[in-house]
Amino acid sequence: MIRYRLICAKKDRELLEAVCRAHAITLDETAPCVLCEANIPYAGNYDILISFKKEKIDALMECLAGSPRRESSILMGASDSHFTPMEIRTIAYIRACGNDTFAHTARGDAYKIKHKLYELEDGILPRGFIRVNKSEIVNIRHIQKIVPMFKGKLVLTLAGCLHGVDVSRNYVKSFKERIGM
Amino acid sequence: MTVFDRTSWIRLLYSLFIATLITLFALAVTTEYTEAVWYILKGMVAGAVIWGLGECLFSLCERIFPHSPAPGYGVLILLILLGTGGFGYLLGVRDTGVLAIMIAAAEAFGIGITLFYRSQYIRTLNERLAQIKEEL
Repeated sequence: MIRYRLICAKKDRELLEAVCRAHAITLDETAPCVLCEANIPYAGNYDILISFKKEKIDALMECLAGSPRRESSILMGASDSHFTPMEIRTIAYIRACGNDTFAHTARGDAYKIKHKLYELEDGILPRGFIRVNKSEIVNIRHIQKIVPMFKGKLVLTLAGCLHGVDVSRNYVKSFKERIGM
Repeated sequence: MTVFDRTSWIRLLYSLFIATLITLFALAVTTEYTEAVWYILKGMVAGAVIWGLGECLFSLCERIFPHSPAPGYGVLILLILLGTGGFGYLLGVRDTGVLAIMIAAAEAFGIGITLFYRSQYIRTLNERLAQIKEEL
């Protein structure tokens, strides 16, 4: 297994180490393969030096792991110009607004994520997540209540979500199948 | 290869409906049962009006109150009132007291049965949800 030495700003180290751990990348302070954050000068010895931008750490991890990770347990979220690793199980629902995608946690926090909904559905999210309309994916674990409406739509009450989330008529059949009805 | 799928049965219903309409019109024109046949046709038109009104009002409720089923009950009460009152009137009931009793009975039955089946449905949905959450 290849080990990597991580060179980065002190304030980012904890975060970047967490991301590496989440992607099963082994870090070693003596390894000859160096992952160096862009703009950090590095003059030490190395066999291979990979320079990366902090906000592209996910893409780097995918390259190092050989392929996009299936059912990752961490997603990188952006909030107020800083990046935060989020445990996927804490996400209550994910909503697409125009070209942006936001992950909303059960605590009510919202983070912008780089993935599109179809990318998330196609392997990144574990099977506890389900698409409920054209712009939202919900985490079944965080659904508190299901209320049917008179024209066939369902409304989900979710942890961390003040308003309900609709299961539109086009997705009701697959949703009911998913919960075993 | 499936010969009779779900859409086949829907086409059968359309065909039966159109055949019934044509037969009724023919009976109205060619036999002495004109009055009875017009009653049936008027009833069908009234049914279609109630259906159209229901579709519009339920959609409107969903648009204005997207996450609350309560206004839907209001629409249901209105539809039962108009349906029972309208049909009663079309079929010759002119006594207001009798119409009121008919409407009250229809409201009690209609709303009661809706509440019962809706509560069963909600309970099943949420029981299944709890079960799947345990399995995850």
